[in-house]
Amino acid sequence: MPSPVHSLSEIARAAQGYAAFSVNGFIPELVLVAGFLLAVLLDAVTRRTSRKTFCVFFGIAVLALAGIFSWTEWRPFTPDWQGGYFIFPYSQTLFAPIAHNRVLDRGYAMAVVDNFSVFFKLLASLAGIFVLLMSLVSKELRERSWRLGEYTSLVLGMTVGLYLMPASLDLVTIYLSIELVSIAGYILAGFSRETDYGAEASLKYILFGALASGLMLYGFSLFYGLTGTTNLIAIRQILALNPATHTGMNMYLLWTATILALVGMAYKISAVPFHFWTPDVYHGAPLPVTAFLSVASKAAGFGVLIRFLLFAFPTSREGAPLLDWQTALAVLAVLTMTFGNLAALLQSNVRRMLAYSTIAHAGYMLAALAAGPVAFSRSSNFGGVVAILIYLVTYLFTQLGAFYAVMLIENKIGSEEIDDYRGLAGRSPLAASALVLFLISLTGIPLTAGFIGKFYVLTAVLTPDAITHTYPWMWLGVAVILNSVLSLYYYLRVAAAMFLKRPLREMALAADAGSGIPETFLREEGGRTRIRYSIPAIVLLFGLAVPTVALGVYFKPLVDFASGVIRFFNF
Amino acid sequence: MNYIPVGLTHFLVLSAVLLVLGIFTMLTRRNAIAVLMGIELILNAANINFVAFTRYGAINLGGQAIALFVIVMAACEAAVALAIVLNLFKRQGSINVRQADQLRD
Repeated sequence: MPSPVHSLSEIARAAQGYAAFSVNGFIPELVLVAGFLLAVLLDAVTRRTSRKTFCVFFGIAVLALAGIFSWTEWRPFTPDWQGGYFIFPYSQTLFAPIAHNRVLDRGYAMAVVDNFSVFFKLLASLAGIFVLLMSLVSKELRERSWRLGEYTSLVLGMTVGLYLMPASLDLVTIYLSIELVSIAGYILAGFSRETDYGAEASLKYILFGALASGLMLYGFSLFYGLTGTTNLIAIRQILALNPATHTGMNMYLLWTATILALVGMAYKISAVPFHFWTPDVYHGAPLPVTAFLSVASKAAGFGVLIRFLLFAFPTSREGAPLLDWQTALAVLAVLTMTFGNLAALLQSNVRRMLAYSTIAHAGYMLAALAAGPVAFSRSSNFGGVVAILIYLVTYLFTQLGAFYAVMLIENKIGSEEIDDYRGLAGRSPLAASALVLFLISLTGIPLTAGFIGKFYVLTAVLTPDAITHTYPWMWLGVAVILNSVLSLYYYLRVAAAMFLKRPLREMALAADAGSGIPETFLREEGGRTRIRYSIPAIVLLFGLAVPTVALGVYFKPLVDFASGVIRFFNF
Repeated sequence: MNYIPVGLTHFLVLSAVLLVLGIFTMLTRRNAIAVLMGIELILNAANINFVAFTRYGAINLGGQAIALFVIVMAACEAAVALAIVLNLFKRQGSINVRQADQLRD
């Protein structure tokens, strides 16, 4: 029995080859936590409502600082580099795995700082900054500007969880970080709490979320019972070494545990059987919050999912029978993208349509993960994980942009119905053109970022098997392509309404009927007035539109960046 | 006097029953507070598992510690959930979750 206490020299020896260890790797999170506390303080100190926007700028600065600190942890790939370094080694916590004699073995840690987690941290920071900037423009939030300090602190608190989710290497950290993100999300979703929609959105979010995370926790408890540990790498080793954990009845138990654990993650990425909350919450929450949930929360969900599936389950190369999660995930992917697209077809509300389309996008990414998570040989592609990472970056700009354009239009015309978008191109050519750009990028048409994401996903899905030279996932690829064609219809329906149709006569009549549509919207000319936007709003629109085009034309840096992440898995 | 020694299986059966009851409560009850109680049942089912595995598996104290974390998390979640339910009560004058159905296709 090895002694749990280790001398400092022993720790230092074991830590050789690691850039640093313990709290050093935790600096970005500490910056965020400090920023969160200061934001609360700042909110209490600023009394004048007009000063509350300062809190938002403070939040942006904190997110940028945390992002910069994360960036310093990025390590370029070198062949002898053994991977990331780990914080919170087991020897210093209660969570000692059974009979470990390699204390600082890179496995036994609660969380890990590697390029994979750094990638997701940068993504979360970027999304957070854009969302806070959007919040300054959002009418929904400006109407509640005395609560902007509270809003900022909640976004910062959520980002702490977003930082920890993909870094988690332990079932406990996975659960805690998912809950951290969720609880902040529940409050943010109901931020416009005086409205019926806001109250209902947060209620639905918390009920579905609590059920999903409860089931996930039950699955985790079964994992703990099967393997005696909660560490992902330790689970992997025990599953590979001890056949008793996955033979006979225990195989059913392992499947049950896996499915239950996946419930919580499928809920975070809104994959199909657990997507019910998505359209309602995205509809009821303020649009910047919707954008944050659909981009950052979904990205972190994929981070956790990838980490869990690739780390906790031994591959067939390790001698253990592979738990065939790939086929299960592929079926889930097809269901998710097909359902998302079919439901989006039927929507008359742009926001709900985008909500369903985010479900479809989760399906595309799941397909990449299912088909070939990791390329074992240096073939022409890098495997599904890199495809997902590329997809997530392109998706970030595109989806944020789409929600932002919808928000700008809603600020002015007070509606999100596709029928009210008719003839918008004449009155607001800039926002209308930008929205069309984002929508065709979401479809995946060349020369936009969305095409690059979808291209790499398809490459990952349609990679021939190294040994048999057949295409084992042909049907999955066909499903992705058919679904992309399907999505073109409803995306272009919005574009057609804006550019090709005349505004409904009813809109002009509604102006004097006091139907809630602001007067500025339909002054004199019955909805023909030019809509004007403030300069910062236009700058932010370009800030999202330019990367959407740029990444579609020049994407090599992005691909290099993303493929630098995957080499750290060291499979 | 005969008595059955309590073993791991008893705890696992108990937790499985609690889990099913929790899910059933969440899906069937209309009262928001009752639905929240269903959440607590599910979380405590997992807790019983963790503690029982620790006790009978003789592994380490990990499960007990996790149970403590989960209890704290459940309290946080309950606090937020109650605030949301209170807000719902202010809006619609009841805490019937079936009545909150304005957001729909």
